[in-house]
Amino acid sequence: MNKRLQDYINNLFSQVPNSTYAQELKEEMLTNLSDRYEDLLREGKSKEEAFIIVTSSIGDIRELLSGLDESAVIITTKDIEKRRRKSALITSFAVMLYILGGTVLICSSFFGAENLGLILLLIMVTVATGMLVYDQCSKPAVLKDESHPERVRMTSEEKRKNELESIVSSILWTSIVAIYLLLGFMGDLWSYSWIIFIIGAALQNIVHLVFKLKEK
Amino acid sequence: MSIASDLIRGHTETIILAHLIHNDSYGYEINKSIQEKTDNQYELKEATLYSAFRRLETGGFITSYWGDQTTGARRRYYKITHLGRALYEQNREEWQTAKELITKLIEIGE
Repeated sequence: MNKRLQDYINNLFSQVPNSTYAQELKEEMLTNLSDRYEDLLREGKSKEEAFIIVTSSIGDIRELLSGLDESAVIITTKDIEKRRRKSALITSFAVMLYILGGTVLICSSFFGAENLGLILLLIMVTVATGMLVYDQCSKPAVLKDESHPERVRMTSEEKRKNELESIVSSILWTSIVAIYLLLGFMGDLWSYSWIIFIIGAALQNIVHLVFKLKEK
Repeated sequence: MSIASDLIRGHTETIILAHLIHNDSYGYEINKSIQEKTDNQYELKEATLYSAFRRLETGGFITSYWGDQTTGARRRYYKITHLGRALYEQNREEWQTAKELITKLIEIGE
C-alpha cells in the first residue's frame, strides 16, 4: 500500500482516539485514495501531481472526525436488527413465564400443593419482570422511541397541562384504591367493591376527555 | 456554477442510492462515476461521500460489507436496502417536482 498516503491519513486521524469506526474509516479512505492515485498515474500524471490531487480531494473531514470520540457509538442497521431480535426474544420469554406461572399454580392445586405452586408462580413472575426491566434499561436510545416515530416537541405550556393531568389521574387512582379498601374492610363488601375500579377507569377517561377539550 | 455544486452536494445521498440500485459499489467507484457523468466538471469530496455513507447506513438505507481483496487493504462495499430503494424513489419524485416548479417560477414568457 502507498506508504506516503498511509502516513498522510494517519496524520489526519492523529487527533482521533482509536475506535473501531476510526480504524475502518481510515482503511476505507486509504483504499479509495490509493485506487484514485493509481488511476491518476495511469492517466500520465506524475507522482507528485497525483498525490496533490488525491489529498486535496479529501475535503473537510472535521464533521466525520467530530463524531469519532470514544463516547460516540455508530449504530448500524445490523446492530439495530440484532438488538431488536434480542429484545423480542426477552419480551416473549418473559410473557411466557407469566402465563406459565399461572398454569403451574393451577397444576399444583391438583396435587394439593398450592403453597408450593404459589411460591413457584412468584419466582417465575420475579424472573420475568427482571428480564423485562433489563431489556428496557439496556436498550440504546435509538430503539426506545419506536412507537413514537415523530418526536413531539412539547412546549412548556403543554408540559404543564400534561403534568396537571397526570397529577389528577394519580389522585383519582389512589382515591379509588382507598375507597376499595375501605369498602372491603369496613363494609366487608369485597364481592362488590371491585366495581369501583371499573368506575375508576371510566372516571379516568372522563378526566382525559376534559383535558383534551380544554386544549381546544 | 457554484449553485450547481451546492445542489449536487445536497443530493449526495440520492446520487449514491441511484448508483447502488443495480450494483453494490464502493466509495471511489461512485465518485469516479460522478466525475465521468459530469464530464469531469464535478467530483465529491471524500468527506462529503463518507458523511453521506454514514448517514445512509445509520438510517438503514444501505448496508456495508468488506470485500475480500487478495492484495493490500480490504475494500468497503455498500449495498442498498428495500428502505433505500423506497427513499430513492421518493427523492427522485421530489426532485422532479422541484425541478418543474422552479422552472415554472423562473421562466418568463417568450
